[in-house]
Amino acid sequence: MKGKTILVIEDDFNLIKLITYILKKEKYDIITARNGEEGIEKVRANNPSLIIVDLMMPVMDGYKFLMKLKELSLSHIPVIVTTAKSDEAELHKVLSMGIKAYIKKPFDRKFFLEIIKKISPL
Amino acid sequence: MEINSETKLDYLFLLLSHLGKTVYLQKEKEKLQDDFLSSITHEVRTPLALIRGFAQVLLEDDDLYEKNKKDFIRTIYKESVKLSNMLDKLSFLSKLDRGKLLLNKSLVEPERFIKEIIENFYSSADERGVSLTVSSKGEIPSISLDTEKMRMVFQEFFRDALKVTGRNGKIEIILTSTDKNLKIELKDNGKGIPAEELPFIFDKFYKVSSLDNEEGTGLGLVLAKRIIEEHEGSLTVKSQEMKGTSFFIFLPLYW
Repeated sequence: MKGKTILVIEDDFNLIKLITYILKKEKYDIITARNGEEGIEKVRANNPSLIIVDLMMPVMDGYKFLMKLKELSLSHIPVIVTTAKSDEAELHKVLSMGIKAYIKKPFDRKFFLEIIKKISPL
Repeated sequence: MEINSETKLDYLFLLLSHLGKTVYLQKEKEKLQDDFLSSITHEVRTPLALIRGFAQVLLEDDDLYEKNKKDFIRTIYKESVKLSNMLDKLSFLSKLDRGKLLLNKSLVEPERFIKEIIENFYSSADERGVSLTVSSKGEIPSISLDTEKMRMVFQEFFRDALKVTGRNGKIEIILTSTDKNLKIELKDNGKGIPAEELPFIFDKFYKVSSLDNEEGTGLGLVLAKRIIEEHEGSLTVKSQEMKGTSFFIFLPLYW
């Protein structure tokens, strides 16, 4: 049976490795991108059921990625933001951009999976 | 002197503007401290996320392949080293900023000093197929340096230069001197730094994208610049994408 596809956009190679491991173990199919620009290409090509995107990335960051998604009328795909930012005002700003949730780094695996499964149940 | 109401008003105005300036400067200082703290928190969270995440996987998953286990432990180890390097550098920078780090200078022959440091990099350079050379143009006088701190500067440059140069790469250190200054050019023919990033490379926590630097703390160049400035010198950079980068260290010969 083919699982749901999640696109993980993150510039840190090791975090991609960690998130991919955790989600694959739950039988999600994973595709990855290292920045927002690459992420947009992967969204177009793979039509994922959920996008997990980091905020701070080179080339195209998470904010620009969210705006581009809206511009391309792809905002129907649920997005979860992962971030190392802790400024509440900044996090409210991201929430107002139409995302489903944000997850602060470092995160607990159980909490992370609860959110993923709630938004994109298998 | 007669103090009339107009003079009093002028005095009050001066006092208020002085107070306003003090409050403004204090606010600016607090903002800088907040920004700095927020940057540190941000930079610490990613390595912590990896350490916590992989440790949790190792604790919870009994069915891990041996290959994965090793890989995850290696990542935890590397990230903890990175955190510790970051803290060391921050503590060093803080001491520099507070004027608590005094230079312990001695007279050295610049070319010999750099060659001694570079010896530790020859094997990594060989493995990568990169040539590493030191040369002097003309007579180079001895210079007074804090060798321990300047060693850190050169190590930082050599490590970065090796990361950006591929096979058949070339790293050259060229020394020249004028009446007043010693100029050390650290030149590589690596990936170069994108023009739009150049204004930020000496900012705390800025990571140059072309370095693709997993272990990087974004503090190495800041530290190098500060140490050079402590020596009354300066550090500049020229770079062209896909052609390479030259860092120029200028150090006063007599001070």
